[in-house]
Amino acid sequence: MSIDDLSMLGDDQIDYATLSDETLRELALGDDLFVANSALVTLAIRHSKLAAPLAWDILTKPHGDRYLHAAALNVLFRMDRKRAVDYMIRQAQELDSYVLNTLAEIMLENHDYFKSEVTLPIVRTVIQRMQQCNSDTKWPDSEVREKFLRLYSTKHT
Amino acid sequence: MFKSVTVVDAGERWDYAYVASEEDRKEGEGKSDAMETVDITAPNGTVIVCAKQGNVLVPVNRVAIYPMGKVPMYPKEELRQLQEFKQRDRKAFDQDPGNEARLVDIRDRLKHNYERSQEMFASIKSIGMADTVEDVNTIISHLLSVGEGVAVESAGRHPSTLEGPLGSLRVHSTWKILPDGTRYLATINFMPIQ
Repeated sequence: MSIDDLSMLGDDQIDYATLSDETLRELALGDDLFVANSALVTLAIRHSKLAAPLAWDILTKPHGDRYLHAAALNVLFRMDRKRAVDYMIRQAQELDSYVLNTLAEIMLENHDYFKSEVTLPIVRTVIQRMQQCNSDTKWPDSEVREKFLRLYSTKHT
Repeated sequence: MFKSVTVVDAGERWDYAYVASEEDRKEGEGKSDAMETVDITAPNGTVIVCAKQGNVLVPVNRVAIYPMGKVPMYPKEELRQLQEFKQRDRKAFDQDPGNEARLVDIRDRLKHNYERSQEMFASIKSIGMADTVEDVNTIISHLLSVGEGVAVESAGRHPSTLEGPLGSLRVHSTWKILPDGTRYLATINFMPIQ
């Protein structure tokens, strides 16, 4: 199916497994953010070489919403770790709270990786932002905050 | 658990069949005389229920599911277990590539699409609208009106304002022009007015 034909369908009506990498890339840059999210993640699960540059484009260009950005951050970390860490160092202070939640989850899942000197600025910034949250804060969610601070704050404060 | 919502043309009104553990039909409000419900078939054979007014088509599920917070909840417990497994024993976790694929699918797709749908619904609730047949009809009527103003040469993104009892929302809709000139709603997004 062409992109034009696919634009008639909702996220739950598209069989992403049958689509080419290039078609998925186009969908990931499209206006339907549910479809964009699914297309990006399908590329990532396939380990497509298009996934990391696409995730970078999504993060650095005015496209998508915070949910798509959260997905893109995870994809980039999985497939182009150096670039993801560069992005995290530069953006950790400004990240939307939902994307910050994703960054914290990445740091929890990959704790060993975030022990290095290079990632220290990210750890410090995220701890600081976590400590500014209160009981009314929706994102990062309380469970992630608690786990994160338990794991990181004693070693870095 | 909720699975889908479909539209049933009940003559003077639209009814919505919510498919859950058992099929349940909710009685709807009177529909505009100019509106009708039609089934169209997408190129992949999918039948899409649309509200039709003149040469404008609005796929009903685009309104009744995604912005109404009805994207299914992701399997939160399975996600938690996979994340803990990965943190606890990375070597064992990596032995089955299916673990990572499933983790990525739940965490990066199902969760974000669910949260996006919830946020859209929160925006709709903030203007005093709810997940009712009446309010779905109101939004569809709004979009049909927007579609009437879409010119062939300017198809694409169209901003509009949806009025609710407690306020307004900015709506960004995108439109596709079908070969017969019909305007077809491709996407919608709701944004609070700052």
